[in-house]
Amino acid sequence: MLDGLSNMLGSASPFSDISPNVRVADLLDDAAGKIDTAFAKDPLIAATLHHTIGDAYLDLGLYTKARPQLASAIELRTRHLSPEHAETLAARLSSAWVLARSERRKECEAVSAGLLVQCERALGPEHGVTLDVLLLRSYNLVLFESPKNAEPTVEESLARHVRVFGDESVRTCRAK
Amino acid sequence: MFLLRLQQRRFDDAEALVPQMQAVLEREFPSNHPEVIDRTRDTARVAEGRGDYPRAESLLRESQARWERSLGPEHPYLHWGLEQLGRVLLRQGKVDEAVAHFRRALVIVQKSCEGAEENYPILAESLDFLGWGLLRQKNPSEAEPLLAKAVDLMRRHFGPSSRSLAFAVLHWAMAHAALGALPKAEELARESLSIMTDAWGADHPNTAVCMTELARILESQNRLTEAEPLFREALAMRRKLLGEEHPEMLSATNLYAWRMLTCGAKELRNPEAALDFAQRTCALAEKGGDRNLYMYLDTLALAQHMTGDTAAALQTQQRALTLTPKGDRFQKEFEERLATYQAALAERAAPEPSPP
Repeated sequence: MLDGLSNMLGSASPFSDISPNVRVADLLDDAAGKIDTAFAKDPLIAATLHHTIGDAYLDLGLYTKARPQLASAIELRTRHLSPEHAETLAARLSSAWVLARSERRKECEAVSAGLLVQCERALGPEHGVTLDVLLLRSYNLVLFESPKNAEPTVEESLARHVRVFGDESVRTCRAK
Repeated sequence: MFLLRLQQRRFDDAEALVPQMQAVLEREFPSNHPEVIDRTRDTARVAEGRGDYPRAESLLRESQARWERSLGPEHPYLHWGLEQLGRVLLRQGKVDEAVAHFRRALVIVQKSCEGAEENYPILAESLDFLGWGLLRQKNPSEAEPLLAKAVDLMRRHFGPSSRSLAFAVLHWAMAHAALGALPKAEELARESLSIMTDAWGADHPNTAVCMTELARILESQNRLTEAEPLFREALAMRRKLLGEEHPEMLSATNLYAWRMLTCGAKELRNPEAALDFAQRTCALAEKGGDRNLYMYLDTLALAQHMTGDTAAALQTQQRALTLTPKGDRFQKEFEERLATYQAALAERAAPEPSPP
Protein backbone atom coordinates (compact mmCIF):
# COMPACT_ATOMS: atom_id res chain seq x y z
CA MET A 1 0.00 0.00 0.00
CA LEU A 2 2.84 2.31 0.93
CA ASP A 3 4.54 1.86 -2.43
CA GLY A 4 1.27 2.55 -4.24
CA LEU A 5 0.56 5.74 -2.31
CA SER A 6 4.11 6.92 -2.53
CA ASN A 7 4.20 6.31 -6.27
CA MET A 8 0.90 8.12 -6.77
CA LEU A 9 2.24 11.17 -4.95
CA GLY A 10 5.61 10.94 -6.64
CA SER A 11 3.84 11.07 -9.99
CA ALA A 12 2.69 14.54 -9.03
CA SER A 13 6.18 15.78 -9.86
CA PRO A 14 6.09 18.22 -12.81
CA PHE A 15 8.59 15.95 -14.53
CA SER A 16 6.03 13.14 -14.74
CA ASP A 17 3.12 12.70 -17.11
CA ILE A 18 -0.12 13.81 -15.54
CA SER A 19 -3.55 14.77 -16.77
CA PRO A 20 -3.63 18.49 -17.58
CA ASN A 21 -6.99 18.72 -15.82
CA VAL A 22 -5.49 17.93 -12.42
CA ARG A 23 -3.65 20.72 -10.66
CA VAL A 24 -0.65 19.02 -9.13
CA ALA A 25 -0.41 21.38 -6.17
CA ASP A 26 -4.07 20.71 -5.27
CA LEU A 27 -3.47 16.98 -5.32
CA LEU A 28 -0.51 17.39 -3.00
CA ASP A 29 -2.32 19.84 -0.66
CA ASP A 30 -5.20 17.42 -0.36
CA ALA A 31 -2.96 14.43 0.39
CA ALA A 32 -0.72 16.36 2.80
CA GLY A 33 -3.68 17.37 4.92
CA LYS A 34 -4.77 13.74 5.42
CA ILE A 35 -1.53 11.95 6.22
CA ASP A 36 -1.29 12.42 9.97
CA THR A 37 -4.90 11.38 10.59
CA ALA A 38 -4.90 8.48 8.14
CA PHE A 39 -1.60 7.06 9.33
CA ALA A 40 -1.64 8.00 13.01
CA LYS A 41 -0.79 4.41 13.91
CA ASP A 42 1.86 4.00 11.20
CA PRO A 43 4.31 6.86 11.76
CA LEU A 44 6.90 5.47 9.37
CA ILE A 45 4.37 5.30 6.54
CA ALA A 46 3.36 8.86 7.42
CA ALA A 47 7.04 9.86 7.32
CA THR A 48 7.51 8.32 3.86
CA LEU A 49 4.46 10.17 2.54
CA HIS A 50 5.58 13.48 4.05
CA HIS A 51 8.99 12.97 2.42
CA THR A 52 7.47 12.12 -0.98
CA ILE A 53 5.11 15.11 -0.88
CA GLY A 54 7.95 17.38 0.27
CA ASP A 55 10.07 16.28 -2.70
CA ALA A 56 7.16 16.84 -5.09
CA TYR A 57 6.62 20.38 -3.72
CA LEU A 58 10.35 20.94 -4.17
CA ASP A 59 10.14 19.93 -7.84
CA LEU A 60 7.22 22.33 -8.25
CA GLY A 61 9.18 25.19 -6.71
CA LEU A 62 6.79 25.37 -3.75
CA TYR A 63 9.51 25.75 -1.16
CA THR A 64 7.40 27.12 1.68
CA LYS A 65 5.10 24.11 1.37
CA ALA A 66 7.97 21.63 1.04
CA ARG A 67 9.63 22.70 4.30
CA PRO A 68 6.97 21.57 6.84
CA GLN A 69 6.44 18.27 5.00
CA LEU A 70 10.13 17.43 5.16
CA ALA A 71 10.35 18.65 8.75
CA SER A 72 7.56 16.19 9.67
CA ALA A 73 9.38 13.35 7.89
CA ILE A 74 12.60 14.19 9.78
CA GLU A 75 10.82 14.45 13.11
CA LEU A 76 8.93 11.14 12.74
CA ARG A 77 11.97 9.22 11.53
CA THR A 78 14.22 10.69 14.23
CA ARG A 79 11.72 9.58 16.85
CA HIS A 80 10.87 6.15 15.43
CA LEU A 81 14.11 5.14 13.68
CA SER A 82 17.08 7.20 14.87
CA PRO A 83 18.66 10.56 14.09
CA GLU A 84 21.36 8.87 12.04
CA HIS A 85 19.25 6.29 10.21
CA ALA A 86 19.72 6.44 6.43
CA GLU A 87 16.09 7.46 5.88
CA THR A 88 16.27 10.26 8.45
CA LEU A 89 19.42 11.56 6.80
CA ALA A 90 17.78 11.25 3.35
CA ALA A 91 14.89 13.47 4.53
CA ARG A 92 17.42 15.95 5.88
CA LEU A 93 19.12 15.92 2.50
CA SER A 94 15.82 16.85 0.80
CA SER A 95 15.40 19.62 3.33
CA ALA A 96 18.89 20.91 2.47
CA TRP A 97 17.90 20.90 -1.23
CA VAL A 98 15.01 23.23 -0.34
CA LEU A 99 17.59 25.64 1.07
CA ALA A 100 19.75 25.28 -2.05
CA ARG A 101 16.91 25.83 -4.52
CA SER A 102 15.56 28.79 -2.57
CA GLU A 103 19.08 30.22 -2.66
CA ARG A 104 19.58 30.29 1.11
CA ARG A 105 23.17 29.55 0.34
CA LYS A 106 24.79 30.26 3.71
CA GLU A 107 22.25 28.12 5.62
CA CYS A 108 22.55 25.42 2.98
CA GLU A 109 26.31 25.49 3.18
CA ALA A 110 26.26 25.02 6.96
CA VAL A 111 23.56 22.32 6.88
CA SER A 112 25.10 20.30 4.04
CA ALA A 113 28.61 20.43 5.53
CA GLY A 114 27.30 19.08 8.86
CA LEU A 115 25.13 16.51 7.11
CA LEU A 116 28.05 15.18 5.10
CA VAL A 117 30.09 14.58 8.25
CA GLN A 118 27.14 12.79 9.85
CA CYS A 119 26.47 10.62 6.79
CA GLU A 120 30.10 9.63 6.42
CA ARG A 121 30.24 8.65 10.09
CA ALA A 122 26.89 6.85 10.26
CA LEU A 123 26.57 5.36 6.78
CA GLY A 124 30.11 5.32 5.41
CA PRO A 125 31.71 7.39 2.65
CA GLU A 126 30.24 5.36 -0.23
CA HIS A 127 26.62 4.94 0.88
CA GLY A 128 24.06 6.24 -1.64
CA VAL A 129 22.77 8.96 0.72
CA THR A 130 26.33 10.10 1.52
CA LEU A 131 27.05 10.38 -2.20
CA ASP A 132 23.87 12.37 -2.74
CA VAL A 133 24.90 14.77 0.05
CA LEU A 134 28.33 15.09 -1.57
CA LEU A 135 26.61 15.97 -4.83
CA LEU A 136 24.62 18.70 -3.08
CA ARG A 137 27.83 20.04 -1.51
CA SER A 138 29.43 20.11 -4.97
CA TYR A 139 26.43 21.95 -6.41
CA ASN A 140 26.56 24.53 -3.62
CA LEU A 141 30.26 25.10 -3.90
CA VAL A 142 30.19 25.40 -7.68
CA LEU A 143 27.35 27.88 -7.69
CA PHE A 144 28.15 29.87 -4.60
CA GLU A 145 31.89 29.62 -4.00
CA SER A 146 34.89 30.26 -6.17
CA PRO A 147 35.70 27.43 -8.64
CA LYS A 148 39.02 26.95 -6.83
CA ASN A 149 37.21 26.14 -3.55
CA ALA A 150 34.74 23.86 -5.34
CA GLU A 151 37.20 21.80 -7.37
CA PRO A 152 38.42 19.32 -4.68
CA THR A 153 34.86 18.45 -3.57
CA VAL A 154 33.63 18.05 -7.15
CA GLU A 155 36.60 15.82 -8.02
CA GLU A 156 36.04 13.77 -4.88
CA SER A 157 32.34 13.38 -5.60
CA LEU A 158 32.97 12.19 -9.15
CA ALA A 159 35.71 9.79 -8.07
CA ARG A 160 33.47 8.21 -5.43
CA HIS A 161 30.55 7.91 -7.87
CA VAL A 162 32.78 6.18 -10.43
CA ARG A 163 34.12 3.82 -7.75
CA VAL A 164 30.68 2.86 -6.45
CA PHE A 165 28.49 2.93 -9.57
CA GLY A 166 30.98 2.66 -12.45
CA ASP A 167 31.68 5.17 -15.18
CA GLU A 168 28.61 4.27 -17.22
CA SER A 169 25.82 4.64 -14.66
CA VAL A 170 23.11 7.28 -14.54
CA ARG A 171 24.18 8.35 -11.04
CA THR A 172 27.76 8.92 -12.17
CA CYS A 173 26.37 10.78 -15.14
CA ARG A 174 24.53 13.14 -12.75
CA ALA A 175 27.78 13.70 -10.84
CA LYS A 176 29.37 14.66 -14.13
CA MET B 1 31.76 18.78 -12.92
CA PHE B 2 30.09 20.26 -16.03
CA LEU B 3 28.91 23.30 -14.05
CA LEU B 4 32.35 23.72 -12.50
CA ARG B 5 34.03 23.67 -15.92
CA LEU B 6 31.52 26.25 -17.16
CA GLN B 7 32.27 28.50 -14.18
CA GLN B 8 36.00 28.06 -14.79
CA ARG B 9 35.38 28.99 -18.42
CA ARG B 10 37.06 25.71 -19.41
CA PHE B 11 34.58 25.30 -22.24
CA ASP B 12 36.39 22.51 -24.11
CA ASP B 13 36.42 20.37 -20.97
CA ALA B 14 32.76 21.15 -20.24
CA GLU B 15 31.71 20.32 -23.79
CA ALA B 16 33.63 17.03 -23.73
CA LEU B 17 31.47 15.82 -20.82
CA VAL B 18 28.20 16.26 -22.71
CA PRO B 19 28.47 13.31 -25.16
CA GLN B 20 29.56 11.04 -22.31
CA MET B 21 26.47 11.97 -20.30
CA GLN B 22 24.27 11.83 -23.39
CA ALA B 23 25.37 8.27 -24.25
CA VAL B 24 24.57 6.93 -20.78
CA LEU B 25 21.22 8.71 -20.51
CA GLU B 26 20.09 7.70 -24.00
CA ARG B 27 20.77 4.10 -23.10
CA GLU B 28 18.69 4.35 -19.91
CA PHE B 29 15.85 6.68 -20.91
CA PRO B 30 13.70 7.37 -24.00
CA SER B 31 14.85 10.18 -26.29
CA ASN B 32 12.09 12.52 -25.05
CA HIS B 33 13.12 12.20 -21.37
CA PRO B 34 13.95 15.57 -19.75
CA GLU B 35 17.45 14.50 -18.78
CA VAL B 36 18.23 13.47 -22.38
CA ILE B 37 16.87 16.70 -23.89
CA ASP B 38 18.70 18.75 -21.28
CA ARG B 39 22.06 17.69 -22.69
CA THR B 40 21.37 19.76 -25.82
CA ARG B 41 20.78 22.68 -23.49
CA ASP B 42 24.14 21.95 -21.84
CA THR B 43 25.84 22.32 -25.22
CA ALA B 44 23.92 25.57 -25.68
CA ARG B 45 25.21 26.83 -22.34
CA VAL B 46 28.77 26.16 -23.47
CA ALA B 47 28.11 28.07 -26.71
CA GLU B 48 26.55 30.93 -24.75
CA GLY B 49 29.56 31.03 -22.40
CA ARG B 50 31.90 31.24 -25.38
CA GLY B 51 29.84 34.10 -26.78
CA ASP B 52 28.72 31.98 -29.75
CA TYR B 53 25.13 33.18 -29.42
CA PRO B 54 23.88 32.06 -32.87
CA ARG B 55 24.87 28.46 -32.10
CA ALA B 56 23.37 28.66 -28.61
CA GLU B 57 20.17 30.00 -30.15
CA SER B 58 19.96 27.20 -32.69
CA LEU B 59 20.52 24.51 -30.02
CA LEU B 60 17.98 26.06 -27.69
CA ARG B 61 15.37 26.25 -30.45
CA GLU B 62 15.97 22.56 -31.15
CA SER B 63 15.69 21.50 -27.50
CA GLN B 64 12.63 23.70 -26.95
CA ALA B 65 10.88 22.12 -29.93
CA ARG B 66 11.67 18.66 -28.54
CA TRP B 67 10.34 19.70 -25.12
CA GLU B 68 7.11 20.95 -26.61
CA ARG B 69 6.63 17.84 -28.73
CA SER B 70 7.24 15.71 -25.67
CA LEU B 71 5.34 17.64 -22.98
CA GLY B 72 2.82 19.79 -24.85
CA PRO B 73 2.80 23.59 -25.13
CA GLU B 74 1.84 24.47 -21.54
CA HIS B 75 3.91 22.20 -19.34
CA PRO B 76 5.42 24.09 -16.35
CA TYR B 77 8.92 22.92 -17.23
CA LEU B 78 8.86 24.77 -20.58
CA HIS B 79 9.45 28.18 -19.00
CA TRP B 80 13.12 27.45 -18.28
CA GLY B 81 13.89 26.77 -21.93
CA LEU B 82 11.92 29.81 -23.08
CA GLU B 83 13.80 32.02 -20.64
CA GLN B 84 17.18 30.62 -21.63
CA LEU B 85 16.34 31.15 -25.30
CA GLY B 86 15.04 34.66 -24.57
CA ARG B 87 18.28 35.51 -22.77
CA VAL B 88 20.39 34.40 -25.75
CA LEU B 89 18.15 36.37 -28.13
CA LEU B 90 18.46 39.44 -25.94
CA ARG B 91 22.24 39.16 -26.00
CA GLN B 92 22.03 39.33 -29.80
CA GLY B 93 19.76 42.36 -29.73
CA LYS B 94 16.68 40.39 -30.87
CA VAL B 95 14.68 42.19 -28.24
CA ASP B 96 11.11 41.80 -29.48
CA GLU B 97 11.36 38.05 -29.95
CA ALA B 98 13.06 37.71 -26.56
CA VAL B 99 10.25 39.63 -24.86
CA ALA B 100 7.66 37.42 -26.59
CA HIS B 101 9.38 34.32 -25.13
CA PHE B 102 9.59 35.90 -21.68
CA ARG B 103 5.88 36.77 -21.83
CA ARG B 104 4.99 33.23 -22.79
CA ALA B 105 7.17 31.81 -20.01
CA LEU B 106 5.45 34.06 -17.46
CA VAL B 107 2.00 32.94 -18.62
CA ILE B 108 3.04 29.29 -18.22
CA VAL B 109 4.35 29.90 -14.70
CA GLN B 110 1.34 31.99 -13.68
CA LYS B 111 -0.95 29.25 -14.90
CA SER B 112 0.85 26.65 -12.84
CA CYS B 113 0.55 28.73 -9.65
CA GLU B 114 -2.81 30.32 -10.30
CA GLY B 115 -4.42 31.57 -7.11
CA ALA B 116 -1.33 31.01 -4.98
CA GLU B 117 1.31 33.24 -6.57
CA GLU B 118 2.67 34.27 -3.17
CA ASN B 119 3.92 30.71 -2.64
CA TYR B 120 5.85 30.52 -5.89
CA PRO B 121 9.28 32.15 -5.81
CA ILE B 122 9.80 30.60 -9.24
CA LEU B 123 7.34 33.23 -10.51
CA ALA B 124 9.77 35.92 -9.36
CA GLU B 125 12.42 34.77 -11.80
CA SER B 126 9.96 34.83 -14.71
CA LEU B 127 8.87 38.35 -13.70
CA ASP B 128 12.51 39.41 -13.58
CA PHE B 129 13.24 38.02 -17.06
CA LEU B 130 10.26 39.83 -18.57
CA GLY B 131 11.13 43.04 -16.70
CA TRP B 132 14.69 42.86 -18.05
CA GLY B 133 13.42 42.30 -21.60
CA LEU B 134 11.01 45.23 -21.31
CA LEU B 135 13.84 47.47 -20.13
CA ARG B 136 15.80 46.52 -23.23
CA GLN B 137 12.66 47.26 -25.24
CA LYS B 138 12.69 50.76 -23.73
CA ASN B 139 9.48 50.14 -21.82
CA PRO B 140 10.40 50.90 -18.19
CA SER B 141 6.84 51.78 -17.14
CA GLU B 142 5.66 48.24 -17.82
CA ALA B 143 8.87 46.75 -16.44
CA GLU B 144 8.94 48.57 -13.09
CA PRO B 145 5.90 46.99 -11.38
CA LEU B 146 6.90 43.51 -12.59
CA LEU B 147 10.39 43.98 -11.18
CA ALA B 148 9.02 45.39 -7.92
CA LYS B 149 6.94 42.23 -7.51
CA ALA B 150 9.91 40.02 -8.41
CA VAL B 151 12.11 41.69 -5.79
CA ASP B 152 9.38 41.45 -3.16
CA LEU B 153 8.86 37.72 -3.79
CA MET B 154 12.59 37.04 -3.76
CA ARG B 155 13.16 39.02 -0.58
CA ARG B 156 10.49 36.92 1.14
CA HIS B 157 11.45 33.49 -0.21
CA PHE B 158 15.18 33.67 -0.89
CA GLY B 159 17.92 34.76 1.46
CA PRO B 160 19.15 38.37 1.37
CA SER B 161 22.29 37.19 -0.40
CA SER B 162 20.55 35.35 -3.26
CA ARG B 163 22.11 35.69 -6.70
CA SER B 164 18.69 35.91 -8.35
CA LEU B 165 17.79 38.74 -5.99
CA ALA B 166 20.98 40.57 -6.99
CA PHE B 167 19.89 40.56 -10.65
CA ALA B 168 16.28 41.49 -9.93
CA VAL B 169 17.40 44.40 -7.73
CA LEU B 170 19.79 45.55 -10.47
CA HIS B 171 17.04 45.44 -13.10
CA TRP B 172 14.71 47.29 -10.74
CA ALA B 173 17.44 49.93 -10.31
CA MET B 174 17.68 50.25 -14.11
CA ALA B 175 13.89 50.70 -14.32
CA HIS B 176 14.04 53.48 -11.72
CA ALA B 177 16.90 55.11 -13.61
CA ALA B 178 14.97 54.95 -16.89
CA LEU B 179 11.99 56.56 -15.15
CA GLY B 180 14.18 59.32 -13.73
CA ALA B 181 14.12 58.21 -10.07
CA LEU B 182 17.90 58.37 -9.82
CA PRO B 183 18.52 58.38 -6.02
CA LYS B 184 16.40 55.23 -5.62
CA ALA B 185 18.13 53.71 -8.66
CA GLU B 186 21.52 54.36 -7.08
CA GLU B 187 20.48 52.87 -3.74
CA LEU B 188 19.27 49.68 -5.47
CA ALA B 189 22.32 49.40 -7.74
CA ARG B 190 24.60 49.66 -4.70
CA GLU B 191 22.57 46.95 -2.93
CA SER B 192 22.88 44.71 -5.98
CA LEU B 193 26.62 45.32 -6.26
CA SER B 194 27.07 44.41 -2.62
CA ILE B 195 25.17 41.09 -3.06
CA MET B 196 27.04 40.28 -6.26
CA THR B 197 30.44 40.99 -4.73
CA ASP B 198 29.51 38.77 -1.81
CA ALA B 199 28.16 35.99 -4.05
CA TRP B 200 30.74 35.94 -6.84
CA GLY B 201 33.62 37.98 -5.51
CA ALA B 202 34.88 41.32 -6.78
CA ASP B 203 36.24 39.75 -9.97
CA HIS B 204 33.36 38.33 -11.99
CA PRO B 205 31.60 39.31 -15.25
CA ASN B 206 28.30 39.77 -13.38
CA THR B 207 29.95 42.13 -10.91
CA ALA B 208 31.31 44.07 -13.92
CA VAL B 209 27.79 44.37 -15.39
CA CYS B 210 26.47 45.72 -12.10
CA MET B 211 29.38 48.13 -11.72
CA THR B 212 28.75 49.52 -15.21
CA GLU B 213 25.07 50.10 -14.46
CA LEU B 214 25.92 51.88 -11.20
CA ALA B 215 28.40 54.04 -13.14
CA ARG B 216 25.70 54.91 -15.67
CA ILE B 217 23.33 55.93 -12.88
CA LEU B 218 26.03 58.15 -11.34
CA GLU B 219 26.73 59.60 -14.78
CA SER B 220 23.03 60.41 -15.22
CA GLN B 221 23.28 62.42 -11.99
CA ASN B 222 26.23 64.27 -13.50
CA ARG B 223 28.60 62.70 -10.91
CA LEU B 224 31.12 62.02 -13.65
CA THR B 225 34.26 61.79 -11.57
CA GLU B 226 32.63 59.10 -9.40
CA ALA B 227 31.39 57.22 -12.47
CA GLU B 228 34.69 57.21 -14.37
CA PRO B 229 36.70 54.80 -12.15
CA LEU B 230 33.77 52.39 -12.04
CA PHE B 231 33.52 52.34 -15.85
CA ARG B 232 37.26 51.78 -16.10
CA GLU B 233 37.37 49.05 -13.46
CA ALA B 234 34.41 47.19 -14.99
CA LEU B 235 36.03 47.26 -18.42
CA ALA B 236 39.36 45.99 -17.08
CA MET B 237 37.56 43.20 -15.22
CA ARG B 238 35.73 42.10 -18.35
CA ARG B 239 38.91 42.17 -20.42
CA LYS B 240 40.65 39.97 -17.87
CA LEU B 241 37.77 37.52 -17.43
CA LEU B 242 36.26 37.30 -20.90
CA GLY B 243 39.16 38.15 -23.20
CA GLU B 244 39.29 40.87 -25.86
CA GLU B 245 37.24 38.99 -28.45
CA HIS B 246 34.16 38.06 -26.40
CA PRO B 247 31.03 39.81 -27.75
CA GLU B 248 30.24 41.23 -24.30
CA MET B 249 33.74 42.69 -24.13
CA LEU B 250 33.36 44.27 -27.58
CA SER B 251 30.06 45.81 -26.57
CA ALA B 252 31.51 47.12 -23.27
CA THR B 253 34.59 48.56 -25.03
CA ASN B 254 32.35 50.26 -27.58
CA LEU B 255 30.28 51.81 -24.79
CA TYR B 256 33.46 53.01 -23.07
CA ALA B 257 34.82 54.54 -26.28
CA TRP B 258 31.47 56.23 -26.97
CA ARG B 259 31.53 57.67 -23.48
CA MET B 260 35.04 59.05 -23.98
CA LEU B 261 33.70 60.88 -27.04
CA THR B 262 30.43 62.19 -25.65
CA CYS B 263 30.94 62.51 -21.87
CA GLY B 264 29.11 65.52 -20.40
CA ALA B 265 32.31 66.69 -18.66
CA LYS B 266 34.58 67.84 -21.48
CA GLU B 267 37.70 67.33 -19.36
CA LEU B 268 36.93 63.59 -19.23
CA ARG B 269 36.67 63.28 -23.02
CA ASN B 270 39.58 61.62 -24.78
CA PRO B 271 39.00 61.23 -28.54
CA GLU B 272 42.49 59.84 -29.22
CA ALA B 273 42.07 57.02 -26.70
CA ALA B 274 38.53 56.45 -27.96
CA LEU B 275 39.84 56.13 -31.52
CA ASP B 276 42.27 53.45 -30.40
CA PHE B 277 39.52 51.51 -28.56
CA ALA B 278 37.11 51.88 -31.50
CA GLN B 279 39.65 50.68 -34.07
CA ARG B 280 40.45 47.59 -32.01
CA THR B 281 36.78 46.86 -31.39
CA CYS B 282 35.93 47.10 -35.09
CA ALA B 283 38.87 44.91 -36.11
CA LEU B 284 37.88 42.19 -33.64
CA ALA B 285 34.17 42.44 -34.49
CA GLU B 286 35.02 42.18 -38.19
CA LYS B 287 37.17 39.12 -37.54
CA GLY B 288 34.51 37.42 -35.42
CA GLY B 289 31.58 38.37 -37.67
CA ASP B 290 29.89 40.23 -34.80
CA ARG B 291 26.42 41.41 -35.80
CA ASN B 292 26.89 44.66 -33.87
CA LEU B 293 29.75 45.76 -36.13
CA TYR B 294 27.57 48.55 -37.58
CA MET B 295 27.28 50.13 -34.12
CA TYR B 296 31.00 49.89 -33.51
CA LEU B 297 31.67 51.52 -36.89
CA ASP B 298 29.40 54.40 -35.90
CA THR B 299 31.57 54.96 -32.81
CA LEU B 300 34.74 54.70 -34.90
CA ALA B 301 33.41 57.30 -37.35
CA LEU B 302 32.73 59.75 -34.54
CA ALA B 303 36.22 59.15 -33.10
CA GLN B 304 37.75 59.75 -36.55
CA HIS B 305 35.73 62.95 -36.94
CA MET B 306 36.68 64.23 -33.50
CA THR B 307 40.37 63.54 -34.09
CA GLY B 308 40.26 65.50 -37.34
CA ASP B 309 39.92 62.78 -40.00
CA THR B 310 36.41 63.59 -41.21
CA ALA B 311 37.02 62.05 -44.65
CA ALA B 312 37.65 58.68 -42.99
CA ALA B 313 34.65 59.28 -40.71
CA LEU B 314 32.44 59.77 -43.74
CA GLN B 315 33.53 56.47 -45.28
CA THR B 316 33.20 54.60 -42.00
CA GLN B 317 29.74 56.02 -41.35
CA GLN B 318 28.63 55.07 -44.87
CA ARG B 319 29.75 51.52 -44.19
CA ALA B 320 27.95 51.54 -40.81
CA LEU B 321 24.74 52.53 -42.60
CA THR B 322 25.20 49.82 -45.22
CA LEU B 323 25.39 47.21 -42.44
CA THR B 324 22.55 48.64 -40.32
CA PRO B 325 19.60 46.22 -40.25
CA LYS B 326 16.42 47.56 -41.83
CA GLY B 327 14.22 49.37 -39.33
CA ASP B 328 16.98 49.55 -36.70
CA ARG B 329 16.24 52.18 -34.07
CA PHE B 330 19.64 53.80 -34.57
CA GLN B 331 19.30 54.29 -38.33
CA LYS B 332 18.02 57.86 -38.14
CA GLU B 333 20.78 58.89 -35.73
CA PHE B 334 23.39 57.31 -38.02
CA GLU B 335 22.01 59.22 -41.02
CA GLU B 336 22.13 62.47 -39.07
CA ARG B 337 25.78 61.92 -38.20
CA LEU B 338 26.55 61.09 -41.83
CA ALA B 339 24.99 64.42 -42.81
CA THR B 340 27.10 66.18 -40.15
CA TYR B 341 30.32 64.69 -41.58
CA GLN B 342 29.26 65.58 -45.13
CA ALA B 343 28.53 69.17 -44.06
CA ALA B 344 31.86 69.45 -42.24
CA LEU B 345 33.77 68.23 -45.29
CA ALA B 346 31.82 70.54 -47.62
CA GLU B 347 32.59 73.47 -45.35
CA ARG B 348 36.32 72.67 -45.42
CA ALA B 349 36.25 72.28 -49.23
CA ALA B 350 34.52 75.66 -49.78
CA PRO B 351 36.86 78.35 -51.28
CA GLU B 352 38.35 80.81 -48.83
CA PRO B 353 36.45 84.15 -48.98
CA SER B 354 38.39 86.74 -51.01
CA PRO B 355 40.07 89.44 -48.97
CA PRO B 356 38.32 92.77 -49.12
